[in-house]
Amino acid sequence: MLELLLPSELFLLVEKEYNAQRLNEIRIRLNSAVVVCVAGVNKHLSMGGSSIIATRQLIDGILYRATHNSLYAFNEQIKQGFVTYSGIRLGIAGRVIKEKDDLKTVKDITSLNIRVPCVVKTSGQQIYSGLFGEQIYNTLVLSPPGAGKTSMLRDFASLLSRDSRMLNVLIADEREEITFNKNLTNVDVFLNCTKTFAFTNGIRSMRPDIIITDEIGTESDIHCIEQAITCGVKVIATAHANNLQDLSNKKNMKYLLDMGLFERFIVLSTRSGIGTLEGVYDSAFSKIF
Amino acid sequence: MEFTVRLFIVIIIVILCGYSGYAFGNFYRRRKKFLDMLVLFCKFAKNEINFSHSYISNIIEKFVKNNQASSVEFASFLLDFKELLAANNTEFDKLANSSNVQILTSEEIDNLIQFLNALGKSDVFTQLTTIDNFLETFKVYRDDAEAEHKKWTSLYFKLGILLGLAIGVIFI
Repeated sequence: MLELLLPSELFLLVEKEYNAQRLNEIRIRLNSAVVVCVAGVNKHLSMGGSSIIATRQLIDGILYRATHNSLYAFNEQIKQGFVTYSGIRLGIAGRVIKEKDDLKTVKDITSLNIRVPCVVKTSGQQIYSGLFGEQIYNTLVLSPPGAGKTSMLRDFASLLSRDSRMLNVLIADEREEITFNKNLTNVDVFLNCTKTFAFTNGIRSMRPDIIITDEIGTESDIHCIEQAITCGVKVIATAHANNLQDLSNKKNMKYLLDMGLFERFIVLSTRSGIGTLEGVYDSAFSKIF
Repeated sequence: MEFTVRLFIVIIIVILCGYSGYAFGNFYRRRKKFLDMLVLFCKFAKNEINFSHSYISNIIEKFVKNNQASSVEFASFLLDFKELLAANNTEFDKLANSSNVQILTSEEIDNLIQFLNALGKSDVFTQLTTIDNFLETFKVYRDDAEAEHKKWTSLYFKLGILLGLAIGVIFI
């Protein structure tokens, strides 16, 4: 999909120099050199020895492609600082337009961070068999950004959709990343909406056994999860944290931990490559495997 | 030559001259239809953007599907625009040379290109305001085209018939 998002010259250059499949990120900042992150290492994108400088035309062009030439259709995402294009997340930064306390939009976009979804070989299958064989636990997958949380969540979603127990799985896919490139069947999906909307309406109308969602952290996320778990719905989610200690230092997360809502924690890192399994822990933070 | 043969030839001449008059007037009819469709498209796009947040290409597809017969030129013009969007080509000025818009004045073409340039480039509120502004201009063009159509289309047709009759009288 990257070939449809980037101007052809830029894509060919990236493909030629760095092999687009190993690419993690492309950072485009107005009037600055384009930076590519390949296998976790940042490099300047250059042609013939000189760096490629990002122009207004380049940034606008990528943004219009990402929004199918319809910026207005993505305003809710833009207000949250990103645009999703076929599973590729474009982080954006620019001038925030506010009216009183109401955020209207972000314009004059000066920075794009194109996060390329890569196929991370996770230990999802192994963990799934070990962890969810008997019963499904409320599970939180932890890692720093770019360490394979979403890939693992995708694996879990895929395995759950084929589980012989025929569980009702609801996916709250706020940024259209969990369901990207996965031909999921037998799952209910809320795309491109807030977790509050997906949890509230999903629990009310779809009677899920399990809800899968990505990147929790805000107060409203915590509230949704508390509501779901106390309603008897299992939740599998991800959060940014290096380890369990980091997690318990986060105010909102501390509340979740104190309530004992999550029963299992999967910790990932990039120590031996993206998706390295550091351990699976129970609610008392004892390592299970 | 027999009278009936002459009468037949006169009728043919009148029909041909009438058709020529109609063909001359057709320019104004096509112009009016094009601008009618443009105004309708603006209203349609406004609704689609406001309520369903549809992509521009989907809006065009839906509009053309439902209104193709009304103005083939406008439908072709929109499809050309959609093709440029699909090819990520933003050189919309090229469309000014399209044979589909040669029935418009240069000022009308300029405004039309500016309108296309503005489509999809901002949030919903700004899009609606922008379309409203263009709509006002396009309505003026449409009203002028309608007045021209009323005035010239029937006049050319009548002149054609009259010319045909005059030739017929001389011939008889």
